[in-house]
Amino acid sequence: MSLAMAFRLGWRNLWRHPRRTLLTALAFSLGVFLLIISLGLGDGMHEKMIETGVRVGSGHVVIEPADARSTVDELHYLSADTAAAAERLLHQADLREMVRGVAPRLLASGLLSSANNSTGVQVVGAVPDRERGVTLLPEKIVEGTFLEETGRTPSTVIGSALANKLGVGLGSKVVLMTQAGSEIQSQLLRVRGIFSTGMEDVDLRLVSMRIEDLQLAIQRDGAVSHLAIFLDGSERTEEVRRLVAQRIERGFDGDPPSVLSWQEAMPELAQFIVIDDAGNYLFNGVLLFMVALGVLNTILMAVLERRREFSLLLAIGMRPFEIAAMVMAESFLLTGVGTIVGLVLGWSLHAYWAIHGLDFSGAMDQGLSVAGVSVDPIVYSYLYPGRIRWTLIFVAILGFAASLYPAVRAARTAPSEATQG
Amino acid sequence: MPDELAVRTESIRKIYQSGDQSVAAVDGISFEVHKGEFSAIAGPSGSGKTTLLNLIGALDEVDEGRIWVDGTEITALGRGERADLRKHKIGFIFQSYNLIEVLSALENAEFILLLQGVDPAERQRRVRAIFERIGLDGLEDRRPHQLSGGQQQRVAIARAIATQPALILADEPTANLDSATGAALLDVMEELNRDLGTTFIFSTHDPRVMERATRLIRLVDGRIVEDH
Repeated sequence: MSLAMAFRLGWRNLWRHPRRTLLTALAFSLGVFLLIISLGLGDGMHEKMIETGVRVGSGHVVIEPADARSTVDELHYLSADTAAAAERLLHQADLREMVRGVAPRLLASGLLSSANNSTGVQVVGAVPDRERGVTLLPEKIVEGTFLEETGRTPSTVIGSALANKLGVGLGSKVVLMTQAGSEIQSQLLRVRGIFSTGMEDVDLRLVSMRIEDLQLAIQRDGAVSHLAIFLDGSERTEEVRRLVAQRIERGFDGDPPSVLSWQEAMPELAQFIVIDDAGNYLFNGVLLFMVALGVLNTILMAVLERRREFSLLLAIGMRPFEIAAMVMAESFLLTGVGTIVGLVLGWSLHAYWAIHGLDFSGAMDQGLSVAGVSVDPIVYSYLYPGRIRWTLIFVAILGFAASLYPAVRAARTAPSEATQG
Repeated sequence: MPDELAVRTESIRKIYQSGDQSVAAVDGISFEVHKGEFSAIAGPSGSGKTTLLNLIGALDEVDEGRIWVDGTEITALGRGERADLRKHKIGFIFQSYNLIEVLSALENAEFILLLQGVDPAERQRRVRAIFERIGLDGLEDRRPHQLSGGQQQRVAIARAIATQPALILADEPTANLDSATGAALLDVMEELNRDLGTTFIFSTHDPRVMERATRLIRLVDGRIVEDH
C-alpha cells in the first residue's frame, strides 16, 4: 500500500467520528497554542531582561582586565594601549557586521554630595557618542541632556532617585569624592541630565560622567575598566565572544584581557533565565503530554473499534507494518491538523503581542527585579530562532509516541478474526 | 502436488485450548480440491468448517499436517509470505461482507489490486467490467452503508475475483441474505465458476448452497464424515 493511500484512508477514518476527531484536534491545537504563546512571552521577558541588563551593564560581550574579578575590593584597568588594540580587533569585517556598538567605560566608586546630603555611588565614565543608540541611559533621560559639554564645570547625569535624595535638580552643583591612588580627590560636577530607568538601584546609585573627566579625577589617564560590546540581540553572544576571544588570544602577547559573555558577567541573571526556562519547559511538557494522552485515547478507541476491519485487511494480504503505517498516518493527520490550527492561532497572538505587548502592570504594581535587573511589566512576545522548528519536532515526536501503541495493537490483530461472525 | 489441484491437505489438525481441555477443531483432515471445483463444506455449528477454511486460507496456522494451495505449501511459509499468498492467490468472501466503511464500492473492490501495485487505469478497467457483469453498474461511488446486504456481498465478490485468484474461500456467504438475494448471489458465483473456471470452496449450512455445490464435504467434530 502506498503512503498516499495510507493517508487517504487515515483521513477518511478520522471523519467516521467527526465530533471525537474535532475535540481531540482542538485539544492538541490548544496545547500547541499555549506552547507558542508561553514560549513567546517567556522568551520576550527574558530577552527584555537581557537587553536591559546588558544595556545598563557591561554589554552582551565584555573585554576586561584578566584579573578584574579576582579581587572585589580592588579596581583593575585596561591601559589606553590595550583598550585601543582590543578595539582595533573589533573592526575586522566579520565582527563589524555582528557588533552594533562598542562603549569604553571607566568605573569608580565614590561619594556624591550636595548641600543637603551625600551618598555612595557607582560612577561610570563614558564616551557619550559611543553610548547613544546602544546603552540605556541616553534613552532614559527625563530632564536635560546626556553628558553634553556645556561649560567649564564637568557634566554629570544622575538618576531621579539620587536627585531626590540629594535634593538637587538640573543645573545643580554636586561634589564627587573618589580615590585616586592613595589620595582622595574631589571634583565639582554640574547636573546636566537626570535619568529614570525604573530600576531603583540604578536610579539611586549610578552616576555617569564623561570618561576623560573621570580619568582626570582618579588620575588614570587613558585607562578604561572595560569595553562593552553591544549586539543586535542576544542570540549571537557566544559566537561573538568566541571570535573576540580568539582574536584577543592571537593579538596579545603576555597577559591578554578576558572576554566574557553577558552570562559570565551577570551570572545571577543567566541562572534565573535557565531556571525559568526549565520551569516553562516542564509545564509545557506536562501540558502537551496530557494532550498526547488524549490523542492516544482517540486513536486507541478507533483501533479497538476496527479490529474486524484490520483483520480483513490482513486477510486480504496487507502486511502488519502497512496496518501500523495506516494507523500512524491517522494519528499524524490528527496531530497535524491540531498543530497547524494551534500554530496559526498561537503565531497570530504572538505577532500581536510582539507589537502591542501584554501589560502585566496590574499584577506587578510593586515592581519586580531579578538579579538587579528590573522586569518590564509590558512583555513583548518574542521567539528565539528555531523555537517553531523545535516545537514542530517536539509535537511530531509526541504524536508519533501517542500513535505507537495503537499502531502495534492494530498490526497484531489476527487475520482469522475476519471470519468470526 | 499435481497441477490440477487447487488445494491439498494432509492430516491437518488444529487444537484450541478451552480451560483445561484441548478441543480439536480440525482433527486430521486430508482432502484435495481440483481446480474449477464448486465445493461446499457443510456441518453443524462447531464442526470445524470455518477453522478449516481459515487454515486453507492461511489465516491461521495448523498444529499438525501440511497444506498446499495452487502448488505452494503454505504450512512452510512465514507470516509475510502467507500475507503475500493471500494477496495473490486467494480471494475471500465473508459472512458479514467485511467491506471498508470509508471506501466507496469501487474502491473496496479494487483495494487488493491496489495492494498488488496494479496501476489505477487497469484497476478501474477490471473492476468496472466485474461490476457490469455482477449487476453493480451505477453503484461504484456508494459507500457500504448506502448499499443493501446483497449489494454489499456482491462488492465483496467483486473484490475477491478482481485479482483472478486461484481459489475463492467463501465463509457462509448467504447467511445474512434473504432467499431471493442469496439465490441471485449464488447465480453470480456459479457463473464466475463456469465462465472463468474459478475454484470456490464454501463453508455453509445453507441447503441452497449445498444443492448448488458440485461437491459436498460434511464435517462433524472436526472430521470429514461424508464427501461426494
